[in-house]
Amino acid sequence: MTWLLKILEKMQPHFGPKGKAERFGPLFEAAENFLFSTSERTKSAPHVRDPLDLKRFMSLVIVAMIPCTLAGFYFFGLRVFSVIIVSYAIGGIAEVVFAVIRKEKINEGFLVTGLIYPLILPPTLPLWMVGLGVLFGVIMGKELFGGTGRNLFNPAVAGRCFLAVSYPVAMSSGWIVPGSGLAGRLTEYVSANSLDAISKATPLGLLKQGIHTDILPLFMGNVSGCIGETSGIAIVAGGLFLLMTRIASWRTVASVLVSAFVMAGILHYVNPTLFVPALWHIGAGGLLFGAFFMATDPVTSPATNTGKWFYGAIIGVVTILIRNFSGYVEGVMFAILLGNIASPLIDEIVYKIQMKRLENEA
Amino acid sequence: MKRLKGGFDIRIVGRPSAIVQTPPEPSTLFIPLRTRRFHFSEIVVQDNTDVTQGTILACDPKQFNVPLLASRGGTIHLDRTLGQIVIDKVKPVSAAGSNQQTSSWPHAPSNLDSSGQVRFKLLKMGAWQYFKDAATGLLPDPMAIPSALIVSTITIEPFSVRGDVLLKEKLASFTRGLEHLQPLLEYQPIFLVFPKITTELALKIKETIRGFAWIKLVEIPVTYPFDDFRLLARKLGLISKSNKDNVWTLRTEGVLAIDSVLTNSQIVAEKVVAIGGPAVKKPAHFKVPVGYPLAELLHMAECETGSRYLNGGVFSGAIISELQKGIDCECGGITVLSEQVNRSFLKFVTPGFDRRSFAPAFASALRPAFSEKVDTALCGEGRACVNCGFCSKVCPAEIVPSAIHKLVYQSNMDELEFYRPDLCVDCGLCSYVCPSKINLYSEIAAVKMKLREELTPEKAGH
Repeated sequence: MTWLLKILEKMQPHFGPKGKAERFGPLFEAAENFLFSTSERTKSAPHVRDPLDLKRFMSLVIVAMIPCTLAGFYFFGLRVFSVIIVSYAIGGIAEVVFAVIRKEKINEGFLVTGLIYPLILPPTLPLWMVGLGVLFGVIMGKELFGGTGRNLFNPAVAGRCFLAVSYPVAMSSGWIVPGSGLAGRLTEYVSANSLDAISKATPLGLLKQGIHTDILPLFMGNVSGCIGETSGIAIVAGGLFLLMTRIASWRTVASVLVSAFVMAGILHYVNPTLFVPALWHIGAGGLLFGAFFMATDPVTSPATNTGKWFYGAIIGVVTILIRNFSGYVEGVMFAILLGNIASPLIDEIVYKIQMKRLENEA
Repeated sequence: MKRLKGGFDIRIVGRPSAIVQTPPEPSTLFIPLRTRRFHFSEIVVQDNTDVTQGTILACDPKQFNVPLLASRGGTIHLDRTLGQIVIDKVKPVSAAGSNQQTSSWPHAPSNLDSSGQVRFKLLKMGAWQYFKDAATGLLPDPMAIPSALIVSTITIEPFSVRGDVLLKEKLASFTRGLEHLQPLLEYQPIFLVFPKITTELALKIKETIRGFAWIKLVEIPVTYPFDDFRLLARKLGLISKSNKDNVWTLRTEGVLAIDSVLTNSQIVAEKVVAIGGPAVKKPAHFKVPVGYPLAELLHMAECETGSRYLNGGVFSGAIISELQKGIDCECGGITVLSEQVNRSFLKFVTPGFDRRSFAPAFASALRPAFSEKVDTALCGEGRACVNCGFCSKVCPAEIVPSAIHKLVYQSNMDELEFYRPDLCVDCGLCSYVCPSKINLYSEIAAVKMKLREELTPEKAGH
């Protein structure tokens, strides 16, 4: 690949300061550093650095989402592919435009947002809505705060929330009956017009109508729901990989799931006829996906270990409360947004206590 | 002792073997006047005069006139522009130290008591320079009484001279040195810091030390930077915010120097210097006089040219300038890193069996511990902090580098003090682990400096 590197190095001056295409410097820089590791060197102590960089960091999250993306393809057909492409394309353009305007580098964080976001959408959502949502998520959720690292909210969740509030009908219908058999729906392109494949409600939606579906399909994934959220097994498989690489914190995941389990368990204990078993809630809807891939976003969650427990508990408890006591069918994304808002505060409090302990040290 | 937290162990290829080589006697010595802690600005010898081994060449007036001694006899050439004293026509030493001149050493003032006499001798014969104050890292006052003394047998940072290398043949000398230390103290304890490992040598030393009642053995895990004296003093409860005074520290080298001065009345003319790192073909320990030509040593270890030469380790070492020609009197090790950074294609998606990181994010996590070939690559592009929390997990001082970084980013100087940047022990691990490649270490160093400046005029006013 040295020939490619040579070409890039030859082109570099045009995109550098005072070059012909200086304006597109961020784009070139991103492409160059995406293909080849950076040539930058340390200038002072420490003279060596850890090989983990943000590109690796983010690509591991993507690797971890491969199982549930594949499950999405299997259960809901090839349209998933178009949704992902629209998300990456529109969101990517927004990211690049902002980088060019602000003369900053393009951040890898978008690679993750661009995949998380389509996975939490209903599979037949019109593509223009997909684009609109990702635009909102990237611009309002992230860029206006200063880009990845400075955002308060998880951009994917922000985008989805925007759609859920603005287009409630489209966001709560158009579910697909999951594929089955050897090929699933891998050969089909199921859109909102394919009437035979359209399902009325997700398990959580049915629960609102008093219908209690079986637990096992919730973990296998052969239920209708958002693209990447249905298969508990695929999510856990990818999620465990993420926990093992310590890119995501097991504390956040454990805290979300345990608190949701306990909260749902209490409700079920108080009134078993009105409230379903706790395990059902863990498998239903986007709780597993949210716990493993969205709540663990380091930027919008607390950095401290203690903070992560509280943050996770907020998400878990609020999810169950919204699911059982509000008009909304699913509560994970609102709960995560709430957790996001609380996380700087939680960190601050933990730091205060931590520093108080160091008061007399020298 | 309170539990040590954080820290990180990195293994790098090019670890010097435990055998100490003695290179041929040099014909010329280049003795630098500036070292990490000292600036020997007051030169006391004349140009073109002959000196003998042990003659005081210069001293540091700001630090109790700590002397710089001639490691060999020869003819002096002052080279102020390059900040060094050159000793030409070096007289070789036949038997170790036999031609050391002792008569010209200044006599101790007669008003000193026996302990004072010992201290005076240590200072004038160049053994005092091995002492460090735990809180400040500076040279302690020779005439003060310490509240405790920490002696460490380990240096963890790759690559410094390892304690076990120095101790192997000098165990008797080491224990004698420890005995010599006792009169300097008035019932204050000596904490002997020891690695938590069971080698034959370790057991042997522990056996020997057992008889010394005033020595308390402290065992610590061999993880960088747990050998840091300030950290140890803090964890041992010896220093606190209200009491930072007078905890003295000493490494193996210093104890051996004290024994040499007090038992044999001989200065320590030679230093053991480790040369290691990925860009060294034959990493080794060398026993050389201070001022030994750097170029010859690097040649002997077969270092790659065009590399980065560090005085010290990979984390806290300083780049050796091209002007420095010889080994300085504080040098413990030289680490050589390649400046050749390869740009590999789509490196971030490769499994990475040969790259180890703080988070087990590479396939190397599946391998047993191995030595890594590192270079000076930044290993990524600078990005905004993503709040991953690695820096606070790795920090041995238990502060939160990312919080300090955010306040610096907001130029919020008022709140900075609350986050205790002053506790930082300069290990550099936060910068090392940061996936956004933020140089937290230098940011915190700048903050510390600023806070200290703000504090000084106030103090002067009182």
